[in-house]
Amino acid sequence: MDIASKIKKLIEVVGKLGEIGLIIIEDEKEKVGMQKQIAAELNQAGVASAKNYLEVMDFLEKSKAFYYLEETDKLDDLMLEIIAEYKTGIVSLQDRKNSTGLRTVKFNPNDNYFILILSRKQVEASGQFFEFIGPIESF
Amino acid sequence: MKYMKNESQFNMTTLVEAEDVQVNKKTENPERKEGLSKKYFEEREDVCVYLGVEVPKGEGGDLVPNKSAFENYYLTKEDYILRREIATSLVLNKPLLLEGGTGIGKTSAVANMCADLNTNYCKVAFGRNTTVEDVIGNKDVDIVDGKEVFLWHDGKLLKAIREGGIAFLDEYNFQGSKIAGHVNPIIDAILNGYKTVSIPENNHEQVTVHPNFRLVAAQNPPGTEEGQEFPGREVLGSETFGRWAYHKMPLKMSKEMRLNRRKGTMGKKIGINITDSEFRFLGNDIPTSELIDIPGMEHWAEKSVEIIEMLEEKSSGAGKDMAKDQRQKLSFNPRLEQGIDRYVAKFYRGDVNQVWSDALEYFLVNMYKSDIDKEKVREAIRQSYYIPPKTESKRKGLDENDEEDEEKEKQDLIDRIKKAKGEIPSWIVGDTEDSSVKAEIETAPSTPEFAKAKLELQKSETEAIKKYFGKTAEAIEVPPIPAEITAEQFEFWKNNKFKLHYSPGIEIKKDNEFPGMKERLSDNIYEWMKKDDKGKSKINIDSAILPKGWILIDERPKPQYDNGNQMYEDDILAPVLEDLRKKGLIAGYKEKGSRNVSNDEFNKPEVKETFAKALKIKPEQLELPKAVLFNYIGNKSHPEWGNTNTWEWFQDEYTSGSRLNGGDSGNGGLSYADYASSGFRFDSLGFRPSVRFSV
Repeated sequence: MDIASKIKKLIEVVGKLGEIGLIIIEDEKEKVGMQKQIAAELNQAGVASAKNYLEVMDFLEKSKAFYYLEETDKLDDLMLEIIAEYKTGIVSLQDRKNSTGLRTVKFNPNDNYFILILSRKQVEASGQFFEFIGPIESF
Repeated sequence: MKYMKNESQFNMTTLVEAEDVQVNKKTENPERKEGLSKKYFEEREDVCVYLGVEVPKGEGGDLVPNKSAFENYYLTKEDYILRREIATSLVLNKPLLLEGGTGIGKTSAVANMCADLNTNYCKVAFGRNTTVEDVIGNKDVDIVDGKEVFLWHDGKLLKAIREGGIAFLDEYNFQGSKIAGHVNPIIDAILNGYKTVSIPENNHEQVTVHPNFRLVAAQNPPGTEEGQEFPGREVLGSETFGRWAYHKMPLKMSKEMRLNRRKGTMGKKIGINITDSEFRFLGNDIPTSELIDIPGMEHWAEKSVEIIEMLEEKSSGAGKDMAKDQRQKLSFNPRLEQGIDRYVAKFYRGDVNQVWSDALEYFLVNMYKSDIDKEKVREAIRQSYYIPPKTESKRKGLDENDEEDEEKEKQDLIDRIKKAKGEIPSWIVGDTEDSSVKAEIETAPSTPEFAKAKLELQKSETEAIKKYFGKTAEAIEVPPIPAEITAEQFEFWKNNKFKLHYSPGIEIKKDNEFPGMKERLSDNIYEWMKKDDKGKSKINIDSAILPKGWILIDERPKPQYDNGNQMYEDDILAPVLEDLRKKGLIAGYKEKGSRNVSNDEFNKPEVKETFAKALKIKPEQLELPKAVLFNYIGNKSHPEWGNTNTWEWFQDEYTSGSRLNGGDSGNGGLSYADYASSGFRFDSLGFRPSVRFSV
């Protein structure tokens, strides 16, 4: 199955389950190229890109499907907070960009989904987050 | 934010709902009666009710989760019980620490309840790299009137402390947490009862703790449990541990719970069976200082201290007898007793034994993981039941109202038996002297039908014995039914599921192979019969010999265990047992007519006399079956006795002070025999009367 089909399938499954999907890029050497391809496919399917935790909170609030591509060595701690609280439908974090204090978003996890994109190396460097993850696809 | 009535999703997931009924007739608050509901969850305008426990709703806030997040969440029985326990902690304002595995529903329960209760949900995960800014708060530079100023922004924990809500401290025993150093001093101050807390991050601001602020914590077991490793978790010190009501939970969901949740989520209608005894209802919230005026409270205060001391001794030290499989050290300090007293004051509804049992179940039984430990605590609780002295006016016997009451009680008993049986034993309505039974026996006329029935029974029993013993049966002659048995007795026993069997008085040897012996007699019996160096055996050396003669035995199926609520089917002895409990001849129990009695209690002369009257026999004829007889009749006629997971007492004595029991399907059913102190009562242990006739 090619990348496009696999991603289409993943979107369909996480969309129905209302869960967090995970795409793992196995080969570190091909990471950048794969990231681009995967992002392009997701964009094509109408899944928006969230660059940071604040954009993630925006999308959750709007109930819009999105993906988050991790660019640092391991999953961002604030993203881990969001992932861990996803099923309770409430995330509350300080707005570090606008310095406006605690920002809380409430949403229905059953009506939305999002997809994380990490390399195998990033997955291994990250804290325990698998228990909060739904379907996984690897490339 | 205000939620509308009946908006809750739980009304949809509550599959088995009883009608609103009054479940505790002893309540002293008639106003409360009207509100008693046996719905597993109920949302009203101002309260949410979790298996009876009413929790007032909060005042809302930014951190109240959306109810919609839990729409698809299917609740199992365990989920309802967990919510009841959390609800109890909230109404007692006693912090609750849940120790169990990951993914068993702790977080969902707290978040879900916050949504129901319209109160802030604040989760602080000690095991993650949660920042101080998010939890406590931070200062940011802002421009106010053209000047740069530092503005403080509350984190979620501080928000909940100021505005009310539930702080859920997850992975509470995680070592090396980055935020523990900031959060723990605040939590410690609250646990110590301070009304304000100091926030060093904001120039030591003194924040008043909102009266609706509550604490619930969760943790994985420290170290390794059931082969599962939980690295980085520490054993809490007794000072920290003692501040919480500690509930030990399973490491993972039971298979049944997993399946029910999956099937339920898929839309299958799963019946959830929550019994009345699993509901808790608040009482009048009596001031703790006034409890002592209530009969039985002083008794229980003393007994509970004895129980706690016993548990402390058995649950600590290297050679501890209890909590052996628990790494977290249990501690029992005065805060625990305060919590128990608060529970009693809040939940007392007129039944002193009930409220203390529930309180000690909540605070003590729940501390233990193994069912055996739990049962030991429950047994200690049951042994401590308060038996009120007979009231003075009853002793005088002159008070008109008391006479009326007694007459009413008697009539109630008769009505219940009438309803259950369609007939009334003479021992209740008529002359209660033994002589009347004797007279009935001696004067009852025989009839051709009775003679025929006796012959048929003799014949059928001969056939059954042939089937069981095979060739050995050739040497067995089944004698006629004893002449002392009357037609009336015969009919009465038949109607009440008692039947005569012939026991041939032969020895069942270890190596015997009889065609009907599907389940062999326990090897334990043969081991215990062996004599030691001093020539003594643990049980009588004739324990494998069947009694010789006709035996009348209760043929009812042995019930399946149901949390101690199981009853024997259509039980003629239920009203008798209830009456014996009323008279204080046997200890109280949650099901008043339950066969949950000790072997000693069964063998009390007054108790045997009462049973004998109810069964129309002589007291000296009544006994319990020997293990060998239970095995024999079970194999011959009642294999179903071995298919249920309850136990029954046997007549056999085991060394001093113990008696045999068995029958548990989980341990071998008809084959199984074990021993226990004859004074013990277990909620899985009942009895089956048997009656011997002269040969």
